[in-house]
Amino acid sequence: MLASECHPWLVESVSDVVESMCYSSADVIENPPVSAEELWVGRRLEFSGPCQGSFGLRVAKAAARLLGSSFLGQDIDEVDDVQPGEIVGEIANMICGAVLNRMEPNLAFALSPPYDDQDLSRFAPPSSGRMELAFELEEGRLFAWLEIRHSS
Amino acid sequence: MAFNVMIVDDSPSMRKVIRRVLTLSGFNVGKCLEAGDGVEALELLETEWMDVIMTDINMPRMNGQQLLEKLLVDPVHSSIPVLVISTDRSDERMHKMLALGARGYFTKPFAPEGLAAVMESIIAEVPCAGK
Repeated sequence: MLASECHPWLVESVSDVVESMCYSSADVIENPPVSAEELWVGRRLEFSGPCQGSFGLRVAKAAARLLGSSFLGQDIDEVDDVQPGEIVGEIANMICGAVLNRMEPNLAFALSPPYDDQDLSRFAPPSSGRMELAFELEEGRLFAWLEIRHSS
Repeated sequence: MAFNVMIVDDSPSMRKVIRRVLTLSGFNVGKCLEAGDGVEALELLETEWMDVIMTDINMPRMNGQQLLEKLLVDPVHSSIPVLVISTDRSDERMHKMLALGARGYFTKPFAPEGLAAVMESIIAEVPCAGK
């Protein structure tokens, strides 16, 4: 399985999770501009099972707060400094699970807890082992990336 | 009749969401306690009676599967129904948890619709629930 083959599953999974948990919509965008000054919230997790790899999300910081507000069902002013990162982690967990289930519906994967991903400079070109997509949400931009490493 | 529910998940935000979805579902919640993992859940159960336990799988110290296994052999708490809530949608995981004694398996993301029905069907199977 190549990461690039997961393109439709990633699109569906991001849309499903963002819609059901944050009552928002996510549209794929091509070649989004990235500002060096923009602040991001990044979370990453590792998975193993039928195949191994990593999954990550990067969300613009302001968008992460808005998503957090919707996710938690509370006013934006009530979202504290910790919750956006936590929620991006939860959303990453759900999206990754949804992608892997679409890939292998009958087999279980083990997912690590999501952790802070500070490698925010990584906007790597696509390769057979990695795929990254950009989405425009009502709240702002979200990047989702997937790496698959095949078991030896 | 209101039912006491325990939510077990290592994410405070996720526990908050589950609590909110449960309330929105229309299920009649009495006392609602939260635990960050299986160890904390068992500690709370020493002093609090719950009618239903909703648990994630991946948690530190004691995960959802380990919690389920502990409850099954506990003479006091083995009758408390456990509903697993997880991002893992695989048949393999679901069948494993149900085989271990989970009364239901719900996948994230989830909506209020359907959750109340699942909770009520689980509660209906337990003769002493809510008393």
